[in-house]
Amino acid sequence: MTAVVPSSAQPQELEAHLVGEPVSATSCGRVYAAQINYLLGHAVQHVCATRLHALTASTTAQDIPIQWRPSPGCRVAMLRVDLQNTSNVNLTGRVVTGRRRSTLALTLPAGAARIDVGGTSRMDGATSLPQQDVLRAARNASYYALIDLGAAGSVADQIHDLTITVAGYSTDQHTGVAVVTLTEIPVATLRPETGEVGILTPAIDPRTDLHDGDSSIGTSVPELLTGEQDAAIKVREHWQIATYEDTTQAWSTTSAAIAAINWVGSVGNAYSPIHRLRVRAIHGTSAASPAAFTLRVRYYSTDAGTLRVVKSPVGAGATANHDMNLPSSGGAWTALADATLTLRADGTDQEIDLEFQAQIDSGTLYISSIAIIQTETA
Amino acid sequence: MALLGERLTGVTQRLRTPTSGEWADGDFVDAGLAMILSSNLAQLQRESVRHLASALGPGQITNTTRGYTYSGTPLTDAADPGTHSQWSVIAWDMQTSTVFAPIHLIRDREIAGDVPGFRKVRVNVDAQAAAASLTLLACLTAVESTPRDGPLAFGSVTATTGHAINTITLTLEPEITPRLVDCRPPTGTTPEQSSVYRLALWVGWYASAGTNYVLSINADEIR
Repeated sequence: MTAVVPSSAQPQELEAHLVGEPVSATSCGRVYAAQINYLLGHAVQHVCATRLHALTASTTAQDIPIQWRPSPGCRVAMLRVDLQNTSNVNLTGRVVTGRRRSTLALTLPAGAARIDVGGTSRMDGATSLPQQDVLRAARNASYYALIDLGAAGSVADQIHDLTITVAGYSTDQHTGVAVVTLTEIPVATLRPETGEVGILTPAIDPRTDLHDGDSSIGTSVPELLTGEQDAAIKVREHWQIATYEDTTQAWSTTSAAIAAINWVGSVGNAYSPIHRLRVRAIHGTSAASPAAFTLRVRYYSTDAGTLRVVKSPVGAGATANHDMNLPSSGGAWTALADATLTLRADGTDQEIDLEFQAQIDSGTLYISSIAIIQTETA
Repeated sequence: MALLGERLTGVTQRLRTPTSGEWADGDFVDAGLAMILSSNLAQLQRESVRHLASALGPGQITNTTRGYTYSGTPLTDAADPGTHSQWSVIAWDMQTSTVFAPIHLIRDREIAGDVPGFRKVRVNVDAQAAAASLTLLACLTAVESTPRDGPLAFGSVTATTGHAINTITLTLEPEITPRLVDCRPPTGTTPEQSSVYRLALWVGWYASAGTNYVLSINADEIR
């Protein structure tokens, strides 16, 4: 038995509820179920779409960390990696040199697996993947992988690291990755009877009102309440940027005082990029009831540092800072999460501007990934 | 009837509901309690719009050739149209644009007297621009297409002088065909597939003079 997932929002009017009367399972309960299944099964997250800078051609393998807390209603996600364009070959007389072929490999969260369609996969770390010629317009060398999240509960309900490793094929050199996109694929059905989220529509008896009872009667009120709470707290907005996890490529700072981060390339630390995003107003649009997020960072340091998030709700005037302490990582790449970040939804169109700054007590702080993932409680 | 559901008057937030353990007295659920549940679900449907892209920009823009030439050599598959307008302003190669794909658009934007429309896409580009010299472009295409094939939705803006966020809103008007995609691991002979509207989001830039930077690109769904 499965529950069908609608592909659009489901309408409902409060007039359907007659004050003081029992509530109809048909006109209300089943609508609730459809709404919950839509939220949990169709409106799943767009986890990541970010771009990286081109590398000088090299054979050195580079890791790109993506942070992901899978939606519980998602069973398969699609990963697309666009390689940087490059000159495919150099011709010196009759000698072909400088071929650019890459390999891509994935390190997935525990419990997840790569789906090898037809027994093959582009991202197995061995397949030769040509880079696109730089002279071609509007066509990237794009490669796809499907990621199987297994049965409900196979992948722990937490933020995971998904690592993409790009390397040169054989003795070829690569120039890195241009864009990484990770998208959760909506499901057609949910299977609550196997432990998945969602509501089994047939469990709501259309012949009766909605009333509470013990679980053996199955009047579905507890299920509807749990489903509504799941829809509020388990559909988690993702925002993130990522780059190569390498101390010669990652973003960095050597400043002992909070200052602009060196974002590499022509921007460096001359400008500090502003990121504008829309905040979900789960708790409304009052400044006093902001949305709750987890700020998770992957970094490398040998001393204590700080990552600052400068928060400016659009049109609301006030700016506030959120400082995340980053203890020394001991000269290794590590991830650290801070579940106390809040973002206000009272900006114009619920938008907020975010700017990232950092400091390090001594040495250099390197950052390879910054993720902000909504973390609400019921 | 409101497509996204009706909320309690004056309520624009989710209200706390009892945990399942707090409901076990055998009574029916009265309309007042059910209205809270219904209003909450309407609120969650409204707020289910998603963040689509977050990226650092390419930095300083040097494509004064519009991408139609590269180091003086014509591109192999993008002839200079001579007259530039709308999306032909740039060649949409990797030096003049970036593409985020796939994105799955949802069709739950209420349009009076019509079937639901697709959620709009708002692109916010942070740029440092010289006066009237940086053009920012965005469009939606099918995943297999390029903007040169004709975008499904297109917008552009001349960047505000100085350091500022520049906004382009894309409204997908054409009717597009959903595609069936595997949504569960293929097992047996009957794979489960879901119907999705799969698109690509392109963001491009062109600087005609001065010193210009594209610093960040963010995109969200809105209605």
